[in-house]
Amino acid sequence: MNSPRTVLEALDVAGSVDRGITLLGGRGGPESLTYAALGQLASRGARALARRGIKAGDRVGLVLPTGVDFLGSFFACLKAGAIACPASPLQGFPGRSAFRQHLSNVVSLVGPRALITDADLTDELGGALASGVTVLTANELLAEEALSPSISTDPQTIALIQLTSGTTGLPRGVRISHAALASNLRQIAAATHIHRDSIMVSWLPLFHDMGLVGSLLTSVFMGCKLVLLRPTGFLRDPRSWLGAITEFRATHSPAPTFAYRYVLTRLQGQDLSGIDLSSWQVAWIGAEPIPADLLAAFCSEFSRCGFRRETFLPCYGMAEASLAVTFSPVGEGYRLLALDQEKLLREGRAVSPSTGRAATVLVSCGPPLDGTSVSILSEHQQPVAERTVGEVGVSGPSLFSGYHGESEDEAFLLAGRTFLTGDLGFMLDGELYITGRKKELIIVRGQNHHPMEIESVVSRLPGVREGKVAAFGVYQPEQSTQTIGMLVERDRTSTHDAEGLITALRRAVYEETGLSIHGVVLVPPGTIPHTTSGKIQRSRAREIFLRDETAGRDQAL
Amino acid sequence: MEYSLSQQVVLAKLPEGQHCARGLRSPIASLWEAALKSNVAELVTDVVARTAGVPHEKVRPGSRLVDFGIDSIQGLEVVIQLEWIFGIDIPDQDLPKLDSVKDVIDYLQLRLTTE
Repeated sequence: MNSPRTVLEALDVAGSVDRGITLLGGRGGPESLTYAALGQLASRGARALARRGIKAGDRVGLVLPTGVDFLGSFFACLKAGAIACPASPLQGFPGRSAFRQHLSNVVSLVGPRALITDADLTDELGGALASGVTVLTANELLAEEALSPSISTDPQTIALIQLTSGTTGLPRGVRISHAALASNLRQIAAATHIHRDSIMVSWLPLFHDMGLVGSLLTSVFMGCKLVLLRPTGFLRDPRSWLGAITEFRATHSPAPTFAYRYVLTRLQGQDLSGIDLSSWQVAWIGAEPIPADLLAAFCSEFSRCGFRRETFLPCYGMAEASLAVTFSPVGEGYRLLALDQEKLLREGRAVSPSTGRAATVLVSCGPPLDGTSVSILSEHQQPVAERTVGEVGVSGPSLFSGYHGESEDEAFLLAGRTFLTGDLGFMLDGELYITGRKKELIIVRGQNHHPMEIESVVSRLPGVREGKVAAFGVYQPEQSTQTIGMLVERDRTSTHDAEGLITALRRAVYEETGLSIHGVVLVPPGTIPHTTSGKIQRSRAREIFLRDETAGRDQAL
Repeated sequence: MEYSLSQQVVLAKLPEGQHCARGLRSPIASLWEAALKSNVAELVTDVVARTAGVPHEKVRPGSRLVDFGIDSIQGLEVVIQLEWIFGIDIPDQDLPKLDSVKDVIDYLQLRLTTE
C-alpha cells in the first residue's frame, strides 16, 4: 500500500479499521471516537464551514480544549481546504484578561475568516475580535447533517499555521504544507517504530506542535490507537499519565523535558503499586534542554514500575520543521558524552576531558531523520568540522513554507532552503548535540517566548527607563526548565517605591502576555550591559541578575 | 519556625490519602469543618505564602497571585493544596476566576457555605 500523501488520506485509510481515539478526563467520563467516526464528523464540519462561506485557503482559528470538538473541527478545516490555526483555549491560569489579549494577538496575526470555539468561550471572544471574523461553536458545526463531498487535497497547499508562542505573547505563524506535514509524519513513524498496532498516550496540548503533530497526527497517520488526556488533568495529577500508560498498555508517549522532572518530583518515593510501565517502548523527550542527571534519576525511580533505560528517546525539533529533526535510535538507550567544560564554553570545541578537568555531560539528540539534513554553521554561515560548535541549520522536505505575513527570505537565510534555528550545537559520529542558543529565546516548559515581547511591555511603564530592560530565561535545575528573570533600570526621577514598581511590572506583563515573571532585580541607570550599537546584552544582564537576585527579591517582596 | 494551621491540617492527613474534611468521619470532623470555615483567609494566605516562598505579611487580600511570580503550574499547586485542605474539587473552568487572594478566599467561602 502506498503511504498516504496527506493526513486526510491517512484518516480515510485509518477509518477502514476499527481503531480510534479515547479521551480521558472529560466531565462525562471517557469518550471514544473511531477514526471512521472522526472522518464522518470532519465531513459534516467541512460541509458546515462551506455553507458559512469558508473557502479553500481561508484561515480558521481553533480555540478549543482537548476533546471531540477539537478533533472534529480540526479535520473539518482540512477537509474544507481551509488552513487550521490551533490556539490555546482558556484553561486554568492565566486568567481572562490575559486570554483576551492572547486571542486578539492571534486574530491580528493570522487574520482568520472564522474562529471555532465552544459555548463557554463565546462570551470571551466578543471583545477580542475584529469585525469580519465569524464565531462558530463546534457544536453547531459538527451537528450538520449533510456530508461534504470528498475533495482531493493538493499536497502543496498549506494545512496549518502553528503558533510559535504556545499559550501567550506575540506569536509567529509557522505555515506548514500538507506535503511537509506528511513527510515529517512518515519520518517520525519510521524513527520511532510506530505502526498500526502501536498505542499512543498523550496529555500534551493540541495547540502545541509536540501534541498536535507528534501525538495526534502521528497516530492518525499510522492509524494506531491514541489515548488523550487533558493537559490540566496531567498537571493536577501527574500519576494520571502513568496510569493511562498502564491501563492501555501504551507503547509510545512523548513529553517535553520538564514533564519528566515534574513526574519525578511529584511521585518520587510514593506508593506506585498498580503502575506498570513495562509496555512503554518509546518515551520521546525534547523541546527543551535534556539534562543527563534527569534521565538517570527517572530511570532509577521508575525501574520499580518496569520503566527501562532504552525507552528514553531524546530528540530535537521545532515547529519550523513541522516538528521532528533528529531522534535517538529506538531501543538503544540514550547516549551520553563527557566533554571538557572549559574548552566547550570558551573555545566551542567538543573534546574529551583530560584527568582532573571539569567535565560537562551532554545527551545526544540522535541522528537527523532520514531525508532531513542538519548542518553546523559558523558565524559566516560556513559549515564547520565535527566537534566544533556552531549554529544548527536544518533542511529537508518537512520544512515550513515561511512565517505567515512575512516574506520567505526572513525564514530562510541561506540559499538551498536551510532554516537557521538559533540553536548552537555540534555533530559527532552523525549525531547532534545541543549546547545552547544563539538567539535569546526563553523556553518555559517546552514553550518558546521571545524576550522582546516581555521587554516591550515593561519598557512602557512609568518609573522604568525606556528600552533599559532585559528579560531572559533562568534555568531551574530542580524543575528542569527555565523561569523568566528581568533586570530593569529604574528612572532616577521616579517616585515609585521598589515593591510597587515590581508589582506593577509583573501585573502588566501578565495582562499582556499571560506570563509570570519569577524574579525581578531593579538596578540604577547605566547598569544594563549593551553593545556599542546600543543592543541589550541579555546574557550579561542575566549574570548581573544571578549575582544580585537574592537582594533583588528581598527588595521586591 | 512558623507553625501554621494548614501545616496542622497536612499533619492530620489520613494514611489512605483521603481528603481531610471529607475523610474524617468522627465527631472531630464537624469541629474540623468549623475550624476550616472560620480560617479560610488564614489558610489561603498560608498556602500562597508557602508556594511563592514569601513572608506571610506580604500576602494581602488585594495581592494577585502574579504579584509573587506564581505561574500557571504554581497556581495549580495552590489549587491542589486548597482542594485537599478544604475537601472540595475546584474544576478547571473556575480557575480563571481565581486571580487575587481575595478572589480565592471569596470563592472558597461561597463554596463552603453552599455545599
